[in-house]
Amino acid sequence: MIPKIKKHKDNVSDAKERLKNLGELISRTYSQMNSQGDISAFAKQLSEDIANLKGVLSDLPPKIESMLLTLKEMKNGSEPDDTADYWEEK
Amino acid sequence: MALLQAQKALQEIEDTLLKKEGDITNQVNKSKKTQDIPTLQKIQDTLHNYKNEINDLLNSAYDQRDNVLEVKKKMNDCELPVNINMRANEIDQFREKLERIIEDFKDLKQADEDFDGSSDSEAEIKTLIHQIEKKVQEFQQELQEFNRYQKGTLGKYTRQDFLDDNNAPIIVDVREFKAKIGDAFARLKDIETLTNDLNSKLIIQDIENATKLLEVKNKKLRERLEIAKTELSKINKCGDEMDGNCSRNEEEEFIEALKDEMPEVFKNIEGNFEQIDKVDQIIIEIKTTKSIEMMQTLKVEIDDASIKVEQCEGLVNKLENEIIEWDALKKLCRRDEELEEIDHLLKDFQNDLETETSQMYPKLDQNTKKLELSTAAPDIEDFTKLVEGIKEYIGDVEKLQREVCDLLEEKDDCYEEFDNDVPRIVKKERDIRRKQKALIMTPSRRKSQK
Repeated sequence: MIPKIKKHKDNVSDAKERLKNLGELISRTYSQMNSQGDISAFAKQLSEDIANLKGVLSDLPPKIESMLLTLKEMKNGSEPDDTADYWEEK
Repeated sequence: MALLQAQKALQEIEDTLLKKEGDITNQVNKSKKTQDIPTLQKIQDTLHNYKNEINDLLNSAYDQRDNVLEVKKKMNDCELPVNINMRANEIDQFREKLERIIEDFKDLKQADEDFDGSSDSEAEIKTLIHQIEKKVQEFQQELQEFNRYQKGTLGKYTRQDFLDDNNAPIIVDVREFKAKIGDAFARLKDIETLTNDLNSKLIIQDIENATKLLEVKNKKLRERLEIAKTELSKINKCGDEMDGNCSRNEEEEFIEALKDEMPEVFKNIEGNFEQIDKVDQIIIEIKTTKSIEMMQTLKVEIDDASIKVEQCEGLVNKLENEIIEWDALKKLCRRDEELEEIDHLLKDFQNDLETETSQMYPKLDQNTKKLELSTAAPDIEDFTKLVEGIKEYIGDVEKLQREVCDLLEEKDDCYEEFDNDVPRIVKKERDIRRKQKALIMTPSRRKSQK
């Protein structure tokens, strides 16, 4: 009976050890999943923000160029005297 | 300048973004290849920082966009409708002057037909007439081209074109057209010189005929001066009505200048009428005396009166242009918009007050019942105060409701009067504005916050 009990004790101990390992694995996997989930969420958010930023960066500079050209022409139109189209703006 | 600053800031944002974008892609790729938790956590922290940095860049870009849109709002239609109206007025002034020259020329031609001079002088006169006729035709053709361009090209631009970012070519077109009209107007001086030359030649030919010519010219000068005086009176009246209702400093300055200078202008006009009367007297004398000296005086007086009448007409043109620059249409549209805004505000306020009374009456009933059921002295005191408070509050709200109703009626009367008086184009602009407002959507911006 004694060897049987000892063997059973070893089995229990082994199962406990494996259970502990399993717990650690689950915990690691959980952390990994969490990190990867956060990374994925950040990446998605970053991708959206970058797309919005690129949208502004592609739309605004040509608009500014056109407006500067318009203002330049308005300035040209402010000469030579108060009969000019844009005298007030000069 | 706001636009240049925005341009520079956007360039910096783009440079920063280019650097960050590569780093971000590296970090994301790295995260896919590792399962090491500390490494993943480090990547996570790095990406979190990048997220904040990109968010800052995005907000900064939105700020620049706001600045640019603010400038765009101020630029509005770049005064293009006003300037196009100015061109129409300038063409009108050109046409009027050309018509006057043609009218004078007709009189001179008639005077020439009425008298047969020596063959030498006749030949010179005929050459001159031929030259003037040719020039008149050229100017008439030019006038047609101006009208065609004004209606066909400038007239076809829409409000949308004026508000477009790429409206610089329109500004150039309008400005170049101004130069063309101005040049043609200045060249009218050549044809005037020729007609004066013709006039002088006809005077030399025959004193009787010349007297007739100058008499006709003097009569026309009087008519022109009367028209100029009427126009100036209208402008003066317009200035009086505008006094105290100006919306810009330039307008106030204009009104002040009108108030200061118009009495002197009218005094000068009376002086000009006196000069024209004097010319009439000289003509009567010449008809009896046939004096050459008097004839010379007459010529000098008529030339001087012509210059003064032209100055008056020039002043009318200048002041008319200034009034066009006020852009009355835009002002009317603005008033119309303000009336609409008042209507919305009052109706919103009225709705709020109605909600308030509809909520307070049940509370009053509820607390009145509680008061009736109360037996303890402190309860009776509390509920009495509460009921009185609610009644007082309802009274105030109802008073406000009456005031709002009065204001709405006042606004309706004002709107009715305004709507009857304004031209159709203001109503058209109103429809366009309403449609645009209905189309405005809330922009999705700054949704990603730290």
